Amino acid sequence: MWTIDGQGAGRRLPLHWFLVGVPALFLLVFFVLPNAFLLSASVLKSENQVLTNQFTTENFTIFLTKKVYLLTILRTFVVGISVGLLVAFVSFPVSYFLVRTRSRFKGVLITLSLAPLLASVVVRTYGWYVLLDRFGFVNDVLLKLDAIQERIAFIPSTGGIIIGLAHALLPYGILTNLASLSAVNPNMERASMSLGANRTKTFLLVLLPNCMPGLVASFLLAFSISISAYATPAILGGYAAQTIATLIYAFIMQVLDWSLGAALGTILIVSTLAILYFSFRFGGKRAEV
Amino acid sequence: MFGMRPWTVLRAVVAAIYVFMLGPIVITVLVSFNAGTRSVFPPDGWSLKWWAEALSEEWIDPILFSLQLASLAAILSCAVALPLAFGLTRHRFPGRNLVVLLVLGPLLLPTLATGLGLLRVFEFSGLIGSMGFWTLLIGHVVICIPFAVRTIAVSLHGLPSNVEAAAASLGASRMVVLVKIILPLIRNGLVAGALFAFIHSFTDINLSLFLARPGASPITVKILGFLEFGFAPTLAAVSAITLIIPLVLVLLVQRSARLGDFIYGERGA
Amino acid sequence: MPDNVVLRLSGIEVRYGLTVAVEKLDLAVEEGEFVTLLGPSGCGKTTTLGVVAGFFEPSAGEVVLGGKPLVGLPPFRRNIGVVFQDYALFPHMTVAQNVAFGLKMRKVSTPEIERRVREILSLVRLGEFADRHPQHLSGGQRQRVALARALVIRPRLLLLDEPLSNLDLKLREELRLEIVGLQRQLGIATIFVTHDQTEALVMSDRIAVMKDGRIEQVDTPHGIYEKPVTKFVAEFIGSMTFVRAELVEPADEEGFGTARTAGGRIVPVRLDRAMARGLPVSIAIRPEKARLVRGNFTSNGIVSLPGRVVSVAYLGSRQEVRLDLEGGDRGMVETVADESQTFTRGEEVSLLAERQDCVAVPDSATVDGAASD
Repeated sequence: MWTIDGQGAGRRLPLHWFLVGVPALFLLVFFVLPNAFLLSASVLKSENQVLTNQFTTENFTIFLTKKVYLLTILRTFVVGISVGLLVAFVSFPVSYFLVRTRSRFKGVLITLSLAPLLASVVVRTYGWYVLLDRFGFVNDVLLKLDAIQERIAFIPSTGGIIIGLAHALLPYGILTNLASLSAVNPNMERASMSLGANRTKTFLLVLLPNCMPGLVASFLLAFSISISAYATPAILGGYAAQTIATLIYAFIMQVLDWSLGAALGTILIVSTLAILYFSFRFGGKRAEV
Repeated sequence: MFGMRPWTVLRAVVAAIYVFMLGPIVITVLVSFNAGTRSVFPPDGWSLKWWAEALSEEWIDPILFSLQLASLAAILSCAVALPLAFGLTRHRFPGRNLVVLLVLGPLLLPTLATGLGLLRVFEFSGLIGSMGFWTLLIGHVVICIPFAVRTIAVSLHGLPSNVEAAAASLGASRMVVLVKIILPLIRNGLVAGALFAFIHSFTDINLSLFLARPGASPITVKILGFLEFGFAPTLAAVSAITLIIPLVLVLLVQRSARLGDFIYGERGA
Repeated sequence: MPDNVVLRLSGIEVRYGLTVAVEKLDLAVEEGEFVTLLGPSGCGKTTTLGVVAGFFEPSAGEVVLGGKPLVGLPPFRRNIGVVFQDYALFPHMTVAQNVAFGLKMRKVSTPEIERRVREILSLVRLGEFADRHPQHLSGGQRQRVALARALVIRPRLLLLDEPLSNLDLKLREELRLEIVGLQRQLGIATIFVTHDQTEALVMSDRIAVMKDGRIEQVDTPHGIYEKPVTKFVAEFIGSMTFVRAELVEPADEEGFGTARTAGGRIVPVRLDRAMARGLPVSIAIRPEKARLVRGNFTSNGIVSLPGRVVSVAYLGSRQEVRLDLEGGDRGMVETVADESQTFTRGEEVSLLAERQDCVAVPDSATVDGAASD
């Protein structure tokens, strides 16, 4: 589309060139370039904490051969899958309730379910420390109930990371399922029951097939955020249960080894791209302006 | 709804999930009023001493730093997002989908990796020595752009497509149309976009982690750094403050703009 | 009473918190009968349907279907077919799978399912659409799938919740006849919910007119039209002239009494039920039963109400004349449009009607307990 203005009727650059071009340039320099730098660093050798120009695939083979690192990568994906499943299945009943309830407090309940998004993950994780610590609330209660004889250190642990992340990402799951469920006609469930399907069959045969995209999307969203989350694993996992993100931090900020840090970053980027590809394939259009 | 019992069961399950969801946050706030020196729940007694400490210079400075950073990031990302949203909603052009991917990229790819990459770029370009507020700001604008663009795009979609033509037919120039017609109409979208960007920046940790430097460190990074030395109740009080700031903002904005309209839009449904 | 009643609702009450959606509702549906619940939105008709289907539990009252009490029984044990206003077809299933769903739930054998699905689909003229998904059908076709899905299970009762209101007029008229035809053919007792009076008049054996959670009158379409028992019923069905009045003399043995209009005129009226002297009533006159003459006209035994012409709407062979009547009521007369019947705005006229066409109805159902029966 060529703009023609009143004064000169001359051919000018299309307006959207300016509208889109300048911001796009900003993103190219400060988003695409950094990620490209990171990807390239992952195949460069480091010597004495300085990145060289030598090509190597060693950075990746180290992770695949050393058990400690392999375990960390494995743990990260176990955390991602567990958190994804937890978020998808725990947020689903909440979303279902919020979509179907006729309560006067519906609006308040929706707001409350999204309120945790206002808090930084650090804040959201702090409470879990108070609960799960060896001298924390859960231990106190279990001791009092005589369920345990000695105090147990629930954290640092992989389980602690999973609970903390699932808690932090639940609002995303609720939001995603809310969107898919509000598109499901409530009369469909009634129709199913009037035709003789009991509640379980109605759920499995009618409701579930129609809100599967939302469930899958909430799983993938929680998965992709949790594999690259730093704060929660740092607080609830510590050195005992490292994940890719905490390992990256250690490599870059403490060991100052860019090659290994970049290689781990590359693993995160590639996994996330794979997830994105999946979510597009499954029909969930997550990215549209 | 389907007979009483199953619905009652669902209600109980949902109530339990709400407790799970909000409990830890409430506990954090309660711990900040603890009289004892440890972060325990239920508190050993009540006092405001941790709040007094949280309001000392040591903590107020990084909070103010975060406030400045998030405010500027919100304003700048909206300034960048407005023309982008315009171009993307009003024009179809070759490569449009690529631009959409570029714009949403910071939301889709791990923030951690972007932070890492930015650090590398700044190191490479020799800026590493002067890193601080400005480099953080650039990073925050990058990660806030997708939120701002989406929200503004939602409100642009809601505009009747012929307002511009109508105004132009009355002799208004492009600039006048923008300032007098379009901006007032999408005001709510702009405000909501800025708010979402602010919250995203204010609560960010994955990006700031790599770009923060001593003396130029957002509050989240500072809290995280202190958590390594133990969970002092002061940190609970500071955390509570960082929770109150976005909450107050949302409540203020909610009075004029209906944020809910943009939340679904933000996810692109 | 000969007991071929299939469904009996007695004393049904539904409350949501403090609001009462349905109040003391009684209704009986006979074998093969087509009963319509007619009323404005929010009158409780869909809620009543939901109580029968088992989607809502009534706070009080009984629902008996074929001698079996239903309250407390979940919808999937009731064997009632339901057709919804928004079709509620399963989007992830084909037309054939949608229709087969109820049979699968009943564990009918596969060949039998195939046979019955084919049979019912050809009955609703959708044989060649069996493998399509509902999204690819037109509104009318979707509604026929919904109908087939509800009928194929051979339900004891069919419930239709405004099934035609999402369709355009022409399609609606076609489907009306088709639904009634199917219903007669299968001989299945049916409750139909609508807010459209024409639909109710055309389709029903009996109509129950509902207002504010109560049934105002149950009668045949003819009875509802000719003998409305309350002002609401008279107003809801067809157009009507209402003249505010007060009962002077109750009904004699022929069913006629007299009333004093707001304009102070004593006129004879027909009374279809016992009403007390002095009761405020409305005299209801159908536009097509009234005549118009110029000037002030009086005659014994004929009701004559003077007024002034407000507007004349020409409808081809007929015309609709609107009047301001003495005493402040609005009147409407429908007459043939010929030369003897030309009226101009502002002209003084009299509205004439036979006394048997002037029905006195109480202003509200509660005054004399003229509510449901």
